[in-house]
Amino acid sequence: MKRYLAVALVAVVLGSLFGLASVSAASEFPRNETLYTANSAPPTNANPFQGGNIIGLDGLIFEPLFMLNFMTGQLKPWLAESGKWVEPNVFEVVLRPGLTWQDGKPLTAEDVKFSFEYYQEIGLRNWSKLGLKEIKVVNNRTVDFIFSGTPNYQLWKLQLFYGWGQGVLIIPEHIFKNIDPKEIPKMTFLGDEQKYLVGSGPYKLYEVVQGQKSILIRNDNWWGIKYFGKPAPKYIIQLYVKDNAQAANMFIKGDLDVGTYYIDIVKAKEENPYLVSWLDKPPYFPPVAPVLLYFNTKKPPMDNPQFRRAIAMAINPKQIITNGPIGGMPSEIPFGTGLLSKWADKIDLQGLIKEYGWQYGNVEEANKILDQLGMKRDSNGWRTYNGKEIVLHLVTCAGCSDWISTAEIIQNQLKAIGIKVVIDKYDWGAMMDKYHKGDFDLGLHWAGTFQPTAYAVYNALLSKDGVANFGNFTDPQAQQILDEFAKTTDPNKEAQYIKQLSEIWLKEVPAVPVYMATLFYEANTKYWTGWPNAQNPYGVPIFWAKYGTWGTALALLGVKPAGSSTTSTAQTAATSTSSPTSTTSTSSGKSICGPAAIVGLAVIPLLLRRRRK
Amino acid sequence: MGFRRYMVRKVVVYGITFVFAVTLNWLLPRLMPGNPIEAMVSRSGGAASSQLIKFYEEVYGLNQPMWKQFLNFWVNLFHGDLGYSMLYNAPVSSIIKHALPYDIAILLPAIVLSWLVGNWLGAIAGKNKKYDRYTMPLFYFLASMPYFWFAMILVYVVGVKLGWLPYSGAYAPDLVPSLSWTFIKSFLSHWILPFLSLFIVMIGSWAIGMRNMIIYELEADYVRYLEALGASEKLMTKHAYRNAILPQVTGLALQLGMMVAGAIATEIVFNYPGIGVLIMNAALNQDYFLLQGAFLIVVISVLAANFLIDIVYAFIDPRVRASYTEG
Repeated sequence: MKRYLAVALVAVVLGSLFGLASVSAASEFPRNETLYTANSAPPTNANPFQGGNIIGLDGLIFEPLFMLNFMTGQLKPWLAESGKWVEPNVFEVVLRPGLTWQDGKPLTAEDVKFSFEYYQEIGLRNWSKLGLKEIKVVNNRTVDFIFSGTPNYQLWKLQLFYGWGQGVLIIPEHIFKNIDPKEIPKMTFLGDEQKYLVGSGPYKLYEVVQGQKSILIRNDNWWGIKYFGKPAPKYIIQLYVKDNAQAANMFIKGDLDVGTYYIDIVKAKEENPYLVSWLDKPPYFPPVAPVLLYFNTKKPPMDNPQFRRAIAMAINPKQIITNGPIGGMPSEIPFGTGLLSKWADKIDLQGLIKEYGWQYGNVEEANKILDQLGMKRDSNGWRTYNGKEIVLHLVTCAGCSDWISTAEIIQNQLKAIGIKVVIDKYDWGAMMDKYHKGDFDLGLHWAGTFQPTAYAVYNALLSKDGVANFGNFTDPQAQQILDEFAKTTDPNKEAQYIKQLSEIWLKEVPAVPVYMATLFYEANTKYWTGWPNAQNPYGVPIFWAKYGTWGTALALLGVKPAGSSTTSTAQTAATSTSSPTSTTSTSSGKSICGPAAIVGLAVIPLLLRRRRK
Repeated sequence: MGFRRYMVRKVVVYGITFVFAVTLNWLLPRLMPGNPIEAMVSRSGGAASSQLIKFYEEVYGLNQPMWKQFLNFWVNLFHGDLGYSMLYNAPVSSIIKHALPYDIAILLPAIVLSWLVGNWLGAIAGKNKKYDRYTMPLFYFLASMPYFWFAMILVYVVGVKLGWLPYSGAYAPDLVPSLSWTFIKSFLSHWILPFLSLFIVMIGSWAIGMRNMIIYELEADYVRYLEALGASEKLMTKHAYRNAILPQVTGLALQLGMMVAGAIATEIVFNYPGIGVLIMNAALNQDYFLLQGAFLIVVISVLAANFLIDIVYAFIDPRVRASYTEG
């Protein structure tokens, strides 16, 4: 009986193991030639049109005409050598000479035209809405985008790189003309479909172990080597790491080179001095865009700008970032770090804020305004509106601990001016539903501020159908300025419009920036150095799908091998060879230990029974 | 003849249960508030234009009336199409296919071995007072221990502090799955800790259940009768064991059936690829299709396990056979 049991056990164990084995060749990736990154979403899709969940798909495998550096707001010509308005309604793109696809075929203007049209055929873009009439191939390297009437220059600028609902990656016509665009939305481009992934970029998709890891391999024939240099890592491996604690352990052990995880960077640095981040002082991570406290501007009393102003005054961002989430100090206007560095001086931001701003943490003044509005305090100290106690519902996302702690601090800060706040937590989808239906009083979000240009920010926040105008703010003057803004390419005029819009923002208070949210970012300099940071913001790794051309590709292309001198390469070589051997030796040793423990455990009762007899 | 009627009745009951459960699986996620497309778009930090939302609603067929979606669902189901996950942008069947084997590799041995070992230890504890006194506190300790807590201790002590075993992932980060010796060795060494974290905790509850059943059965009239007849202790134990194991078999079947839902805590703590976390995220992000697909698999496997147990019961428990064939 026992013997059968033992056999059955072994069979169960082995059976469950071999059920797994899918056949493919084992491969070795030398540590000093491999850059390890990780994402909290498993790699399951490599669709270049919808941006799969493989880092580098957009930017490293497929390339845009221009790359955006989100941290500086600069557009960097990439496939395009130049792009400019040669006539008021004609945008001419000249490609760099010598562009090639990864299969060796030349990348021409025809491919650019094909790409723009293909995105429209899929249904992902609607160029006619932007007034685009025709895409004309002038010669092999030149494409003209011809518009009817005056185009929206500002929106067009966003189409030159790639993101959500905006822009295109250039795809090869000779491959994709054979694929029905209607099939694209549900293709994963993995398995048999991986053969279609012929890009133009510095990396190719080498292999994807679905749901676990993706491996990119350097394209040594990349056209860009002569412009940007040869990328250093031969392989880029993206692991699937769900948990922050796991990621922290892996960073400390040096198993990860770069990633976006919320880890205690100070503590991790103590254990692994090779770790770096954006800043070497708090908040350590790159502050990118402010989180806004929205008002439902169509619902009394939030429809009164004076009331909104009083609330803005009562908010103290300093307290939020000391006691709440990791973040930086926001400006009063809804710009992220990149846009502030680009525009603050040109629009005299400090002067504007001094004249029209609300000054954070000014409880006294806030109380005065509320008194003037006739919002008397009741016996419990809460302010009243039309004889009823004011209770504001602050909607936030149930899983977002950073927002929840922010909301709690805001709740406290508004208590000081006698405004009662109730925090309502919903799942993300339900929260968005509340925002869109206007079923909230106060809400938190940053979709409107995480935008590449100043126009995009104000268009999202202030225009009537702005994608992030959750508070339903309407102002005819702002709308008019936005319309004019759209029709200009002159930087001086742009500055003037931004100034005017900022003035409206400060006077009308459609929403309040409460803290500057950070992107989590940590990198390991043991194998790769030269990571972007506050001093050298040549890129920024944003590890979300569809942000590869916003600075992620630039960051990954900028790293250098640690210590290029001969001695240190020998060192890295030594460590890289020693680490696999050590893991295999431990594994072979311990794999006996585990079963031994089980057997030992099973033997105890046996022995006991024998003795009893 | 009687057995055939028993079977027919079972099949009908299971058929109805299946349709009902699958319909509920389809309906419940759709009753949750919120728009999954919105969540999908916002997840990447973007704000969606209405055009893009419309596009995706059409792609996923969410713009159709509910009754039509329901019809499509059944039609697709019978074509073996589980749909397309909105969260992971991949066919549901392919997601499950790539994640589930890892759960089974951990859970199947853990459940089966812990069942065998637990029953064994529990049976001994039930008979032997002295042994019982020492082991029961241990069993209670094990059974009340949360999986994730014990897993974290294993990670911290064995993985991080002692450095004996790898504790992250299903195999070394520089490998891809293959039939090579290197991969198998790496896989086995990564397998031990997650396996132990489940196996050891599970032993406790099986052992407690078995011990209590054995004590109960040893007090039963038939054992007393055997004792009065002067039967050997071995014979009495044998009979008691055969009766005590019955509820444990049901428990095993349910555990095995639920196996396909994955082991969320273990997957998170050991960063082990598996279906549990995927399902959890699908629920949080209203990924209707992955939820439907995953629960369909769970329903099928729970029903199948129960069905199997019903049949097994008819063999191992004459009382059941009698009640069905006569009633």
